[in-house]
Amino acid sequence: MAENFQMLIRGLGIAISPMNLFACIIGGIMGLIVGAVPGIGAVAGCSLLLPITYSINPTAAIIMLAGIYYGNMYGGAYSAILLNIPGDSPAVITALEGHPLTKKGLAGKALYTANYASFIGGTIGILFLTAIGAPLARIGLKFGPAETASLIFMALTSIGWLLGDNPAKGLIATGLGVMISNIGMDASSANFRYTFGSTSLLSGIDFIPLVIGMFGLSQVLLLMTDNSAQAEANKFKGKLKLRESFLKKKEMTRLLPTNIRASILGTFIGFLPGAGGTTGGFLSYMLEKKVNKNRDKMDGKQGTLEGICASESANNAAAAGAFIPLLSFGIPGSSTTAVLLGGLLAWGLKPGPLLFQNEPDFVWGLIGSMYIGNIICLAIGMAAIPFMVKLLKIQNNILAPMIIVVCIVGAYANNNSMFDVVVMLAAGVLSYFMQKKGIGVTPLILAYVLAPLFEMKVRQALAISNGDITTFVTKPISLFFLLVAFTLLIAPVIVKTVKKKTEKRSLA
Amino acid sequence: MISEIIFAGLIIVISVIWMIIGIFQLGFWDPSAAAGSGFIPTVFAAVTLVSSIMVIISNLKQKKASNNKKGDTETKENTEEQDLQEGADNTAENETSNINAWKEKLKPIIPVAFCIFGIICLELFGLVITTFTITFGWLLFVSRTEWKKSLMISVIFTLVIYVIFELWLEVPFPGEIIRL
Repeated sequence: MAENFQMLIRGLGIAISPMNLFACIIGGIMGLIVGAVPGIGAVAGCSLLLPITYSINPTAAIIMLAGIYYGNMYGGAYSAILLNIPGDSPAVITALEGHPLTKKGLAGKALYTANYASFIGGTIGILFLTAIGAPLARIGLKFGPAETASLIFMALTSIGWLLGDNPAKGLIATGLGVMISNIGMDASSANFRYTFGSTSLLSGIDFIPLVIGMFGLSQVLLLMTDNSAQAEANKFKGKLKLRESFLKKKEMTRLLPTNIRASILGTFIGFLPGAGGTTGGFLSYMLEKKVNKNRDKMDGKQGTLEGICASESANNAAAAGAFIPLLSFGIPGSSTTAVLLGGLLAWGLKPGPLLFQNEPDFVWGLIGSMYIGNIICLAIGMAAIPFMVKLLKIQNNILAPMIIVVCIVGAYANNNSMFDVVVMLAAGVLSYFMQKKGIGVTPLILAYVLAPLFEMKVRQALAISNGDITTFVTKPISLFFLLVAFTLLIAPVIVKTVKKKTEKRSLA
Repeated sequence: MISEIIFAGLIIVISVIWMIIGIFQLGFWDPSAAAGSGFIPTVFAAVTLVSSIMVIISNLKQKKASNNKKGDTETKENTEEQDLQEGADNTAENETSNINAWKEKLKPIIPVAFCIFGIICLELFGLVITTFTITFGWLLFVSRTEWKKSLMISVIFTLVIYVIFELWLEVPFPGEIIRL
């Protein structure tokens, strides 16, 4: 480990060379902007900006791409908190807990929390990468399809915590999310499913137009009918003060345990192949809903700093964690790291255990730059918040057409497809009706994100075991996750029954 | 309550279609590769189906309970003649409030109409004209903002969108007739 830190100092020296530092700053800024613009997202952002890096040397190029990647994670929180449009899937929970705070006039505080949590999460993730990257990656490799399927199953069952007062309605939302994700080509068998003869549906329903419609457009529709909500939102806009937006020392201390828990869990999820920041952020949120002192307020309606902190710490830690299998074994932990892998291969670098030996300057230069990039993103993010808070003072009747334009343009820009804009519109209308009928949208989005991976891993596990369903309980790691999932499902029922019995006894 | 039942009914229809396609077309269980393409869709469609039925049942129970309550109140009201007279006077007021309530209910059609207009406009005229028209049109006619202010906001916003999406990200927007 000591040797690793010596190498890190060498890497920091490489990272602060003028060219690499410039690449890191530019990458961070571009990532932040692209992340904040709804409709682009980390994968598309990295892919769009990949050609820019071709004109510079490989180390500076990958430093810039990494900057875009974690800058994106910072930026995704801005549109989630301010407009209720998650820039990317990891920011769904941030929108759930952050946007209610914007409605209460606490947008500045929510943004500072997101930035602070992103910084701590990212730093802890990079520390893990520096200290025990290789051993962690070996643990990650022990996660076969059965283990990952059980982990995702645990996450899917925990959606129950977001279902609200009516579990049946929550299950409808979850089921709809899974059903929407079924449309298009089946990744395992290459069969086309539920396309009903439409060529536009062959590639399925994309996440970006779905989330823009569900969260962004539906908000304008709801504002049109809910005059009291509009008046209330405008009332808070007049009261927005930057001075009151800063996080107090007391609040930072209060958030620290959440920060650390979420960062560790996020890093762990990040290095599992395919799991990614969304699963990390969601599981951390679920953990906080169980252990946090303010867990009763974490219902997606009131908005809490803890909820934002859990989501942002975990997804930034997962972004750093995803570099562990990428650099150590050449296995991308997420779609964005798959784009980064493509970049590495394009520059003739072969990720794997030998990369650390053959290209130490590159690897440690990259890791060193991640520390610097994280500080740069924090500084830029903090500097941008006053401007964001000022933007929020725009009245809703002026903001509404801008949201509509951003929804249309963002949905189109995703795949340069007009069909995606139609999907966005349909998703917005569906979301409006769901919310009017008291059916939450968040379970639908989370189920939509988690279901394809869950399905793929379940089918892989069953195919490997020749259809033997006991494969999920005979593997210790998988069994552990299943036991946790069932405990989470059964525990609230037992607690409720015990409470009722105790109340009856005390009344008697 | 009725709209909730209709919504749940629609979900039931979709779930049944999902299950039929999942079992009979895609295959629930494939002996060679274990779970078939229809395995997960069918399982989750079944969960959705059961949940929708539960929502309908609970709504019908609620409706029955509220009907019983309503029936009791109406019986009491019928015994008082004065109330009947007042009821007749209130009819005109109720009609006006009904029209207003419907107006409020139909308001969400406005953003939907703007979106449909935006889709057509983007296809024909590209990004700049679409962004400007939606922003200016909304500010002027929906928000009732002063035209000079509307114009200024629309121009600035169109410029920002143009710089980000067209100049920087180079998104190839359509524009069959005119493309600025």
